[in-house]
Amino acid sequence: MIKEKKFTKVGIIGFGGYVPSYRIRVKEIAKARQKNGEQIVEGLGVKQKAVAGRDEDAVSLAVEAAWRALKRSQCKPQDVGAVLVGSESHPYAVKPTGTIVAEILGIGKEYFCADLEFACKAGTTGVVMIGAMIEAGLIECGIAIGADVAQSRPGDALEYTAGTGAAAVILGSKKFKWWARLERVSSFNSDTADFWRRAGEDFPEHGGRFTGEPGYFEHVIEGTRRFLGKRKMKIFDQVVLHMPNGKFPRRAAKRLGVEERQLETGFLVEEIGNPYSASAMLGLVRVLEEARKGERLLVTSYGSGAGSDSLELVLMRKLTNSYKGKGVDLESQLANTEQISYTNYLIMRGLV
Amino acid sequence: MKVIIAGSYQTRFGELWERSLLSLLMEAGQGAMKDAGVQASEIDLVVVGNKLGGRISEQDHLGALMADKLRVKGRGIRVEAACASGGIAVHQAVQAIKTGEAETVLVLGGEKMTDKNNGVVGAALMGAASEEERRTGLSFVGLYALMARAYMEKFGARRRDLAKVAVKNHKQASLNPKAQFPREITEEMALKAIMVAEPLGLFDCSPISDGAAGLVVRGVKTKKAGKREVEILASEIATDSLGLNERESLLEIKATKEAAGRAYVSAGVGPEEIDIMEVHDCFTIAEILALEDLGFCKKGEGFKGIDKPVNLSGGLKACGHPVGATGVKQMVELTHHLRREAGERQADKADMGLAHNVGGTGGTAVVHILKGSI
Amino acid sequence: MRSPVKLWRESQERYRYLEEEGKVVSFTRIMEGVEGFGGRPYWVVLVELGRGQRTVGQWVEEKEPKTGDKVIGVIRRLREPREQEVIEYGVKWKKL
Repeated sequence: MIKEKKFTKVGIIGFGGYVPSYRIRVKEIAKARQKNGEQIVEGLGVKQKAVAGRDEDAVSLAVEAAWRALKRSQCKPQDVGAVLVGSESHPYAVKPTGTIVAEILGIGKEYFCADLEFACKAGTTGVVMIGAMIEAGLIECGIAIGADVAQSRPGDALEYTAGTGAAAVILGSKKFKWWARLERVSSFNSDTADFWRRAGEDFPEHGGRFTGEPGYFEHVIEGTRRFLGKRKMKIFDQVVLHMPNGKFPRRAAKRLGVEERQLETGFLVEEIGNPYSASAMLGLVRVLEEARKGERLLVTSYGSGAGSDSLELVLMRKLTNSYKGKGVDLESQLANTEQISYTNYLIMRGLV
Repeated sequence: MKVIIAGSYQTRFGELWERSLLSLLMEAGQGAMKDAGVQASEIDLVVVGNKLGGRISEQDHLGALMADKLRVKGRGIRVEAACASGGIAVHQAVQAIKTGEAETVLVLGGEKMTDKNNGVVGAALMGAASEEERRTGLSFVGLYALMARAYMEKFGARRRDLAKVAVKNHKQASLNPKAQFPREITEEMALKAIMVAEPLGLFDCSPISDGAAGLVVRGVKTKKAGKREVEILASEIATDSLGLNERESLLEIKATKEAAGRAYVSAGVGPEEIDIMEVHDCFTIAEILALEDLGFCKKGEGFKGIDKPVNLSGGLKACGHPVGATGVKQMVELTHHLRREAGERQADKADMGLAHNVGGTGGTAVVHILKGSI
Repeated sequence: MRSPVKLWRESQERYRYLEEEGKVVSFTRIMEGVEGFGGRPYWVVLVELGRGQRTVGQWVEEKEPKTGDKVIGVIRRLREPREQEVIEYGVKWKKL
């Protein structure tokens, strides 16, 4: 059971996202697989996905997102009291990503840390935990990161969407200036094996259509409904749902009464694919970068295995132009991409 | 007292699969002693210049090893300064004689590089570079390529100008029976060759080689000089930072300028009086920089070449570059010419010679000036 | 195997230039990688930083660098670690 609780002491004091600039078109992958590219683009609602360089991994991606977030926050690295990195592609099975990221960022030695894994929702779970620590007065600020270099078996349907990216959200107490305030959080989970990867295996398995209704839709829709309770969806100006492809979130949105205009700001999947733990988190960062003062935001993430987290925030300050450009904000990153061939994709991902 | 070279010898340089490091150093040692007409019992000190003995052959402690195996009367030490190991071995010998520590010194320089593959050897050679450089995945070709590009962009030299250096050195090596590549190449071959680290291609780079060279160096008090006597007028070392990014300029090797400056003063001569030279052409660009840094032409003009014979042995490029051997081999080559014993490749004018040996990208530079007595 | 002790001791040195800005002074493309750096060619740049200091590092872009390019330091894996090795991270250079 989760109690009804409105946070009063927790705000977002920094946020940043990073998406590698390489892209491979769905049509390019389809061509290599001798499938009809147009039909697949239409069916998935995804045009292309981001591809990480060979020397990028969850650690380097997490750092890229985190330093951008720190640039926008008042806290110094030494102020940070918690580092939680959520990923499905932590480089080590044993040895936390979080401490490497903390070391690189100069966070010192006094902080809470452990790696999180809950498929695509591990990043938002970090937000929930750090929010609670700050509300409890245990720390002044903490960084929650979702970062992934998504794996997919060549030839599998996931190949078209499994992408890469990272997003970092820094939460803090009233000691720092808030960009947004965190009001409520909730979660909804069950043991549903719609998509999984055994330890030691390179690629995940998934249950095909089982990932739909009993997986994604059940947890996103029911989780959000319970989170809202008696409140109406129209109180939200911006809604971010986990985006495994371009179709699922739109369908869920319809069933939840979310309109296109509420969904469109954070809707990145068509251009970057699914960056797993960074999917909803990047949507959130995008919204924080573009939304207006006073807007109310709803984020519902989804992780296979399965569960959803819901977050409710209110934007208090609009991000000014001094915090944009030069590849720091998502818009300037998304404007600067480079297409690669399927062969290059295989080489870059170490698949050949 | 003068310090003279009494004997000199060089093994063949090349991919010598059947030869071990020890056997190469033995050959060089025995050859030099024979040429000098001295017995092992007359040698007070053996100085061995070598870089990779430990890493490639698992054998360190070469000073003691060679003193023992060659059955010299005295003791042995090993010195290392990357590719200048041979040059500083000669320098140590000169110092030992000048201080009275020894009278007759056997200098050996040798290297065995072909026992492991190129990737491993390349990584081992990077021990001469800085940690920062190692982290980038730079190789020595890469480091000199950084210098080459900066030089070409600043002074308008083109790849063709670099190729000319390789062509010249191969032509000279074709007359050298000890050279690794005793055959000519054309400019077109050099320009069409595969790139190793842009803009340097295969023919801009000295090879991986096995080989050794030896000298017998003595202190003599008599002013009268035997005909085969070659005097070491100057022996100077200079060092600089290891990392290329830590140097003042990419366009020169300051350590060369410094060592050369002191050598000219010490010998009481200037570049004009040098007739022949063996300079450190680990890469074609290095020879170009050397001509400028040694004062044989103005800064930025080196790629146009000079009128004097440079690297008659074939240089590092065509004679070969067993790292620790090179500095000693350069002296061996000059000695042949100064004694007028260089056969087909004998330089017409050969009274004064200069040897230039560099470690890394210029962390160490050694300059020797030699005078013949004919 | 690279020493985890050495990596630990030198870590701050490797991260030093993160977020620093500079410009390319020279560059080269290494066609035959040194052992441990993978089989593909890569670019290496010599960068001059704001304070006149210089450093060398790998280039992260697929496109060729040019002398004078403005760059920023970013974190990447430095080498291709073997399966069991500790992973080494450090700064590489990205076009600004």
